[in-house]
Amino acid sequence: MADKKASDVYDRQIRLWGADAQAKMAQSRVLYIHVTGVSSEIIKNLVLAGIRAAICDTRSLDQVASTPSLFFSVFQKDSNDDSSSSSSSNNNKKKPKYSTVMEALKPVIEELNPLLGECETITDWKAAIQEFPLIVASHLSMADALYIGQHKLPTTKFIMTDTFGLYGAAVFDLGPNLEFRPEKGKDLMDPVTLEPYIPMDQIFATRLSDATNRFHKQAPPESYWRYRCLLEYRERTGKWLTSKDADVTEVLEPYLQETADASLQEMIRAQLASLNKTAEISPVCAVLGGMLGNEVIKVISGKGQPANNTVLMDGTTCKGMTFLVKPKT
Amino acid sequence: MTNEKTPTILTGLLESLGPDCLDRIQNCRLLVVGAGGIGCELLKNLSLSGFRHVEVVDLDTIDVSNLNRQLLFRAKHVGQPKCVVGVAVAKDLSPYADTQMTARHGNVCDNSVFNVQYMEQFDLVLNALDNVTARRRVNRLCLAANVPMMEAGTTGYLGQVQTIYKGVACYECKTQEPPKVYPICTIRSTPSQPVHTIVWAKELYKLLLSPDPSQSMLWEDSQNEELSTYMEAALELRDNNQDPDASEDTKKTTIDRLWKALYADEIQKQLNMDRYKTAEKTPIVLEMPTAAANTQSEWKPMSIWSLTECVYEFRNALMSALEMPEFFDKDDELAMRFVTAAAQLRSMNFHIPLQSYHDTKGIAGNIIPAIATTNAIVAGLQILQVFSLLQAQLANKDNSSKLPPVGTGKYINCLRNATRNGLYLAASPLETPNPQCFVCREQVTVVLTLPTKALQVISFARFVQTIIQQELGFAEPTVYLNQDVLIWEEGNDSDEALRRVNGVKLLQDLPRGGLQHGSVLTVEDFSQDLQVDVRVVVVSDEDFRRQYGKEDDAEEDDDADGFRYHIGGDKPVVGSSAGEDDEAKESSVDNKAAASAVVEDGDDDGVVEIVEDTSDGNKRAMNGATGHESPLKKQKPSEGASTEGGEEVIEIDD
Repeated sequence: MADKKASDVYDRQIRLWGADAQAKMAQSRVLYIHVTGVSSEIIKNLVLAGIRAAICDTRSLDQVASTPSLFFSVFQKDSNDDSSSSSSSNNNKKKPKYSTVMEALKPVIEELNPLLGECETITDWKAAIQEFPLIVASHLSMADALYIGQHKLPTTKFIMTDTFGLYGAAVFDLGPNLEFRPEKGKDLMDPVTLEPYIPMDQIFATRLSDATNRFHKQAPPESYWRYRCLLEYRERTGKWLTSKDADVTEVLEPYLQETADASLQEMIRAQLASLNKTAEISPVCAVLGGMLGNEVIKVISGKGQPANNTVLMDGTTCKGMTFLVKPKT
Repeated sequence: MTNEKTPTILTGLLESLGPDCLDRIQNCRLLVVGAGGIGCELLKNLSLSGFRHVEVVDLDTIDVSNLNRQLLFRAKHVGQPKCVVGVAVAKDLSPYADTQMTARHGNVCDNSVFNVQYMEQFDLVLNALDNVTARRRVNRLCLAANVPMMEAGTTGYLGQVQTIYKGVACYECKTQEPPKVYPICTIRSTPSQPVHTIVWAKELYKLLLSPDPSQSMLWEDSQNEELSTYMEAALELRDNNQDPDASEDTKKTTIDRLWKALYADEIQKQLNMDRYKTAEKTPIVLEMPTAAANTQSEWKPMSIWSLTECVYEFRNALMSALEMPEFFDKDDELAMRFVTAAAQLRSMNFHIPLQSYHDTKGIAGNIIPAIATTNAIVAGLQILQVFSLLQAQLANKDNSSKLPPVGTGKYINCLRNATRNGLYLAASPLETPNPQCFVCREQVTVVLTLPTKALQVISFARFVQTIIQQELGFAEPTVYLNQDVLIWEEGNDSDEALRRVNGVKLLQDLPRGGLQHGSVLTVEDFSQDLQVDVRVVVVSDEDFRRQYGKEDDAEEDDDADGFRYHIGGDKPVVGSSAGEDDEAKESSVDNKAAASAVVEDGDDDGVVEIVEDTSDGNKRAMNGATGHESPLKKQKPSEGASTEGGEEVIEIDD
């Protein structure tokens, strides 16, 4: 009976990717480290599609006050109530108080797709990374990302993603020897290995001036260098850059010196003033979250060529792409 | 209101777009047409982006199969109107307590409510539709009301977003792909693919259960000299269903007679007539299994049913005929089980690969699967396009018009596999309007070519319905012949007598010498603020056949009722593709023309529709619109649907 219900709910997507892919999705589990605007969208897409979620986010709700997320809004209204003291008094009567984001989100995510049962909460992700075939992290430092890259199982797929203003980016570590079956129209080809595999430490070690290809000869796409600069800022100051911070230029100058040739340095410097516009925007999260949802489904089902090794999104031009970051040898 | 503190979740918009744009966002009056897969995503994004004046139109109710993607709906909402639940849930996501979100449960094609005046209330329209008819409709209303519109659609992993306003290409500037056409004799006598037997099974359903069996392609008039063997049993079964006193045994006997007639006797009869002498494979006469199952077979939606199981399902459904809907509905399980069994039995007759219940449902309901991710992407892109439109208006400092400077906005394709240069989202500039498009260009003449015979056999009422309403998409046409003779009028206070008088006339008998070579029909529609001249070209039947005829698949019968025509130029026509070939689509990104025709829509299930039947000498016109389907989902024939005698059109859509 539960199966019948599941096949009714998942009917449309089973027609698209097949019952075998759906079965693999039902077996899979994703660990989400920090729930942001963009990861909310990924959770929504994948939980609706039947992939179970576990979340780790010990931040307090006021730390996510500026995040546009369908999961947070009910709690955010509470904290904003001082501004609109007028109505909604009866809404306030019994809002449970949660001390962490993950406690607050657990029931919301469970309600999203009751077929999946409990949404696990994880307090210490470092201890749990080997239990999950897939990890999606947001607002993570490079040091933590490298920790995951080194300690995860080789088969574990790891995606690190954020949106910042109108831009968004994701970096993939799908492990060595990732097999997938390319698609040709409706036909599935024999499995091949995704190449080249660049571990996350090598992605981060690649100079921005070296992260080019024949379609991006002078510089990497703007979403990528912005993301890389934000991560660098985080690494050097220990905090995520926001519009309250005015020290971007000083903090990043040494990084620019080592990572970029003169012309690229100049180009980035000219844009640095806008780098601190990092608060998330709902439709940007939706677009990147949708693209990453598709990639996760590709990876789990083994059907279709996944992105290698970044997915980038630029809301000013409405372009989205995959881009290979590879050190110059 | 302007001094109000900006809610914290709008920080991103404030930073990246600025306070003036945020102000526009808050004051912008938006209409969202459709509250399904894309619509839910839109409503969520709109709330989380601080839009405060949103109205939503949708006629549908929530189904279980929506829950995998329509994020605002839960199991407890099944059966409720989508727009009502969508608005209630999305409003809760807004950071403002006083956000106005209004649900309008209705059909956007309903001209009495959703007309040009209605559209004029809004600054922007966001389309989240799943069918061509409604898209054409909104396209025209928005153009007439001078309101910019963001059009979007998805098919599986593919999607597209297009900004439309006066000055750039409209939704109807491009000819849609013609629908698939199957000759009727293929359905009735020589099926070779699963879809053929499934369409046949739906026609059988119509014959047995619909209020008017003569609408079925399998219907034969009792005056017909050579009645097919199944007709008698079919009529008897209908009588049994009407008769409250009919015993179980009587029913059972009739059903078995029907079964035997359909799958054994009729096949044998045709074999005896040497009908399949030249066929690649000789059809098999089925034998009723002796140990026919009387027990409930295990529910196996994903696997192939055996002959015994098919017979059981066939009987079981017809025994409970009264529980089935009058018109086939893919979401009615019993109806769907019957169609599956009936189609598979016929496939066994004709050596056609068998399909599971699940796959049969996909074909019978013409379901193009929609998924959460693609819907999320296109809806997000629509809102980003709204932002750039609002910014362009701000930069333009012109508040007199809702329309942005020409060139604002993009055409965006969303792809499953990256292009050569790595793109998953490929954005390109909007195209200029098609000079031949009568919807967005003024003074365009449509050239209509007719064979001589059409003038002699086609009534004007049928002409209006087929050409003016279906092909050209007019809702309430007023028609003048040669500039000054009013010959047709629809809409409020229109002259019904005129329609009665002229409707029955053949084209050649219309006033002032009738329709002839060189005639010009001026068609107006106030409800869409649209006018077009149709210039008539008449050629001989032979010339017509030579120019526009398809190879005559069929049959000896030259059906007098066949309405053949050709509409010239790039005039917009309906019709669409059904995601036949992902490869072709995805590789054609650079070729926008091809790519744009691809992704029709998406969100939900459509209908395989038999649009026109001019079948087998019985001289009857049939418009096979399955009557239970919501008008929103109704599809219409396109250019390719110009029917030859003995052909029917099945539109795979949606």
